[in-house]
Amino acid sequence: LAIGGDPINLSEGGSPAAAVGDPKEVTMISGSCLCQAIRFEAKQVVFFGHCHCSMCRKAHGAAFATFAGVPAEDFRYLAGAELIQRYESSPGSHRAVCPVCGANAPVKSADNRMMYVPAGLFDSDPGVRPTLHMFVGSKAPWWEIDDKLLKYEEYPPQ
Amino acid sequence: MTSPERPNPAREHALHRGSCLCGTVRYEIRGELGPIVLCHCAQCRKAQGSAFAANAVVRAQDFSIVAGREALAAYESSPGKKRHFCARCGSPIISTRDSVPDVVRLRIGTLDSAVPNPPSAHIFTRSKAGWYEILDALPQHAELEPGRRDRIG
Repeated sequence: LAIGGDPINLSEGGSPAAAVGDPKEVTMISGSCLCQAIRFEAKQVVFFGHCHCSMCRKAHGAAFATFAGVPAEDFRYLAGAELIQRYESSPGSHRAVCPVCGANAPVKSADNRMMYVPAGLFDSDPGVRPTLHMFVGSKAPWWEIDDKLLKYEEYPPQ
Repeated sequence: MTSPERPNPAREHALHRGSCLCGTVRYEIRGELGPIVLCHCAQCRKAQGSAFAANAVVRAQDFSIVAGREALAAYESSPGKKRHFCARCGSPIISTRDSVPDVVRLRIGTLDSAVPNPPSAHIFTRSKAGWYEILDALPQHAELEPGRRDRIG
């Protein structure tokens, strides 16, 4: 997931699995980096997807990355926002890192409307589940996708 | 059975290369990669921000940083255990444990070379993220895989 393009919001017109509950019923979702220097809370997750692009795999050192999209107005830092270090992984696209523990940190979309949270940072259950895989065209050859979630060669359609 | 302690003719020829996202940190492994384990412990998930980590044991003597050593930062996530990452782009590279200096645990997602074997098991599934469902047929271990000697997670 190269942050910087248009926000992707699957809560509207997506599959039933992408539906998100009534925000009034959603308790705050908490999250933090490994060292706890960065802490945040989110009211709701409106996008939840696995990204298999080569940059995400490198940035996370993992088989794939998983990002949760939170509308910017529903996201709030509780600590450490000033610490976050940004890296421009491609022109106009940024990644965010905790410089203390190295954890990938939430990053804002280029239009400032969405926060994309690396889902491993969640301390509480976001209440929703991933709905899709993207950039499966760049998937690690050693990783097999075994679920039935939607798959997109690159970005999902808006 | 191949023991990591015994020389294996095949391992002398294996060469794996990897790098961080920004390319500052580059490493080489002249030897075999141990089995890939998918670690669901909360520390690995938080350190990387992913659903789980994909790690493999590598003999420390086989692992060398060939560029960007000065860019490597480390965070001691528990006493004697350090997670090493690129300070510029954040890519996690390896973890080390002071009590087991002869091995490092490689973050497989940073490999540029082909990964020789598929993952072997899920570990620390008792700490798995509630939002992630394991659907493959790999063995699942509530904590460490049986017989693990290095205890680096």
